[in-house]
Amino acid sequence: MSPATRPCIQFQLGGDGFGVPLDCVREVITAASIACVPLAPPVVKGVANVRGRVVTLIDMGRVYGRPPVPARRDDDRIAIVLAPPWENIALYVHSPVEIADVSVEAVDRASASPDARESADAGAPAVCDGRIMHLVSVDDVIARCRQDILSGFLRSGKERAGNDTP
Amino acid sequence: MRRKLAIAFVAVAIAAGLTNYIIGTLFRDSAVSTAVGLLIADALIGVLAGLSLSRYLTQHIHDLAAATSHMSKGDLTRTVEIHTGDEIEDLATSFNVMVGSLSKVVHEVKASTQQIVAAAQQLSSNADGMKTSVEEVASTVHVIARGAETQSETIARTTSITRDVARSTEQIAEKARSAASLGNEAAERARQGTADAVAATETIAAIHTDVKRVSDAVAGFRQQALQINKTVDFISTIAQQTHLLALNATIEAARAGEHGRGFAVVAEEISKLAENARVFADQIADLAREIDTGSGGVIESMDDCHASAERGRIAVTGVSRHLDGITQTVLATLERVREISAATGSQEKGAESLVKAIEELSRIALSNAAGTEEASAATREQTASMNAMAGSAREIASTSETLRELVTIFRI
Repeated sequence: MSPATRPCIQFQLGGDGFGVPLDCVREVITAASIACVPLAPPVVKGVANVRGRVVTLIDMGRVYGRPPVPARRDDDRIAIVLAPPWENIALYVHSPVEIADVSVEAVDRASASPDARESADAGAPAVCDGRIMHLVSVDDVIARCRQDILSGFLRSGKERAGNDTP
Repeated sequence: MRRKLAIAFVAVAIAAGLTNYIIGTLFRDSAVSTAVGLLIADALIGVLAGLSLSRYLTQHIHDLAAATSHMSKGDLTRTVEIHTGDEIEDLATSFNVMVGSLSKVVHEVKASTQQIVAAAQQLSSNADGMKTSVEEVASTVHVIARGAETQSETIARTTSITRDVARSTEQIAEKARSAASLGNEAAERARQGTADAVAATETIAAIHTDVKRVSDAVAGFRQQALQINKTVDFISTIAQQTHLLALNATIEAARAGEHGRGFAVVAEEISKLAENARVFADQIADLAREIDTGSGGVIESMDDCHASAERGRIAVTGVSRHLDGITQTVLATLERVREISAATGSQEKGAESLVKAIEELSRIALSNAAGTEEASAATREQTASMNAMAGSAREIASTSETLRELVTIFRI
């Protein structure tokens, strides 16, 4: 591996390539059984039992505003469990999920391209096998989710408060 | 008569004697008195005797003359009653007999005349009636003669029409024979068609069975393809799990740093194998899906074929039934055509006989026309004879009337 490359877990969202740095990932599992959480915001796909641990699944399509696409099969639903300190959070994506080396230097060059600028909010642009992809920052994702989760729970709380008021 | 004359002479002699005695008594002169007495006595006696005799004779003749006068006036009721016992009585008796006979004859003539008059009148009336009847008969015969002529003309036209009908009947008979021949051919073809339809039904039933069997086989094949799909899904799942396992191994190797490099290589190889297995599994899955899709298409086609075969079987069964019905109908039609042929044959013969009969009828009609003409002439002659007979009857009646009027002068 050259110093200019960085291993990532690569996946697809709405036709766009995304990558999560490998050092941010604890493991990749099949999200065969997902329990929905009532009143949870849309970014929360649900929770899953991972070897006795409850892991919250974050719907990456929702996070980056991609249209929801149903999984073809059950084992197409993939949970990318994050490394500590976010080991109780997993990113929910669909197959295929691959390990790929992302060119970090190319990311800077690619960031100057119009496509990269348009999709800058979807993550830092990078190049993988000559194609532009979005390098996902786990902290950014957590921040977005936290904001969505808080606003979602606040909205749900207000709605519940409105319903409880006589 | 002689005895009466003798008695008259005796009476005259006695009267003359008495006269002489009276005169002698008166004149006492014997000679003169005798002569005068004798003369006067004789004269007186002669006068008395003549008067007596004359009266005696003319009295009965006068009666006879009176009776004859009445008879001459037609009065035959008068008779003469004379009982002199002499020739005058005989004459009166003969006269009475003659009057009786004449009265009887006149009576009979009167009766006969009345009968003749009645008979003549009846004859005249009958003659008039007969004349009227004969005239009516003549008129009727004339009408019949005209009718016979019309009938003859009509029969001639009827003969022509009947000949046309006979020719048409012959043509119909020929057409019926031709139709019977065609009907036989149609019946044979219909029977052949029915047999072919039955064979087609059996063939379609066999196709139906074969298609069903093939369809079942393809359905089994599809089930096997589905089973392959399930197996491929299982392999894909295993490949996916292997892939994820290799992925996680790579992650762990990366986390191990330098010490995990060899492990990362193995994990990469495993990942490649898993990827290859997934790719092949996907290919097999694609093939299985294609087989499934193809099998589904084949099954649908087979179902369509099965349905088509079933429809074909039903249609051919219907065709067979219709052909059977057509055969029955054609046979029935053929039978009718045969009957029509036989009937037209009989009709043909009947038409020929009818033509002959009508020709005979035409001849009879012509003969009737001639006969009616002769009858018309005869009735005209008969009318003339009736006229003559009526004239004669009227003459007889007139003559009888005259005779009756003549006879009416007799009273009986």
